[in-house]
Amino acid sequence: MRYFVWVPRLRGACSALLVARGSHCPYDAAMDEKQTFYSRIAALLVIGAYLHAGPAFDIIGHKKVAWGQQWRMFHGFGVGVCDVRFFDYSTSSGEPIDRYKALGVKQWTRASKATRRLDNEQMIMDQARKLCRRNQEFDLRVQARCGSRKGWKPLLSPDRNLCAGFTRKKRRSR
Amino acid sequence: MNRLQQIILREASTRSVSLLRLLLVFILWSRFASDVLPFRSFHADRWALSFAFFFTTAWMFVGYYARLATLATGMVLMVMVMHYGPTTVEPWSHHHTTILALGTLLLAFTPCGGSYSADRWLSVSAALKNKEPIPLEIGPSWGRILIGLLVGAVYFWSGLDKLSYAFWSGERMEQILMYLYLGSDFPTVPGFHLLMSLSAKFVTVVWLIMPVALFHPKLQKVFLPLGLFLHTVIYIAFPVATFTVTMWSYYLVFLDPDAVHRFIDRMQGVVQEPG
Repeated sequence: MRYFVWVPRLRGACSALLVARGSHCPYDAAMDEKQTFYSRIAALLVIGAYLHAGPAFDIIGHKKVAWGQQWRMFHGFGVGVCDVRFFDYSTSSGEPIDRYKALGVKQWTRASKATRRLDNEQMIMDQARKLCRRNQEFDLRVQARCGSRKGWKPLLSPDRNLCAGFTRKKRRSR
Repeated sequence: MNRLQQIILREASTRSVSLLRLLLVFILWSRFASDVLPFRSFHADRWALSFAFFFTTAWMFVGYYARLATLATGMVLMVMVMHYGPTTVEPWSHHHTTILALGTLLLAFTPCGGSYSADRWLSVSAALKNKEPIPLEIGPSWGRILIGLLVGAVYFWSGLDKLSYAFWSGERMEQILMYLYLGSDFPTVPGFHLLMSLSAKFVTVVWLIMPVALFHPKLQKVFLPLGLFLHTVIYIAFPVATFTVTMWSYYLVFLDPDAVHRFIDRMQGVVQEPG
């Protein structure tokens, strides 16, 4: 029997939301103060729980749910960028190389994005080859670490000369 | 009546939520309109979605049966975010679009048609015609708390996510800055790592305090401008699309609705107390 008591109330609440024009809802008048208060508290609790449940599953439970949200701002942004330092060990101390100068770029701001930002080992090796091509006297070593969600992750250490055995490609003569 | 009952049962000016309704429509158009243009996809469901989006948002802007229009818009957006986001249009599932959809849906729980709407125009016209007093722009204000909870959830969980070593130590900040601006050269400027580390800690702590501070009248005076400032910096420095303007707009729900009403009255040279 209680179900039939709630039907007109639910109908009143739904029609209020759907049809109410202006600022006041008919259900406010239909329900007494106590009912209004508890129905609003219930709505706040249910919706509040929904808003927090998705990220709680995601961040605490490490489980993504299709019905929820993941509020992780900038979580994967910048991942992959590498911090790369080239050195010339032809002198005993190992001098840091200004890669832009060595590549013939006047200002780093003028360099292409692909030159400026190296995102993986392949890109680092390609740039190393270019540096070797421009100066074969280099004892070129590289130290690199790349960005991950868990912080900087070491990628390359300066233990070998990248220009060793490098020969400039000769152009085929016709 | 205790304090909680006073807050939940309070009737206050409808101007702030009505302003939010208008602002959200502009933000929705700037974020989604280009994506749902008919030529983007020649599937019947996408054309239906396109029609639904433009119809409901225009309806919401006009504000005739404004709450129903807002609810309809919110439902269309939820379909875009929850259905098309994970399956077809990946950017629709990002947090800045999800927060837009949820906020619009929750706005239907507020008297967002009480001001600046066709509803208001009609009620004032009817009163003038019948020589009755002009109806007041007031309505139940509890629905604002729902949007406040949404904003709080975004701050709290993203703050909690940033308690990891990677962010807290400043390394993630370094990566973001290098990814966008500096390239693969770690800055040689002394104190760069310290600056990144302190910035990361500051942002994380602020994000974690925000959910409480924005609801607290005294703390709000410090944290609301601070939030506006941080979102401005984020907007200028990083590609965050409509996220910043959405958050700025949602800040309206934390302000006292009657204070917003008085502010608008004062700007217009009208001195009239609501309620």
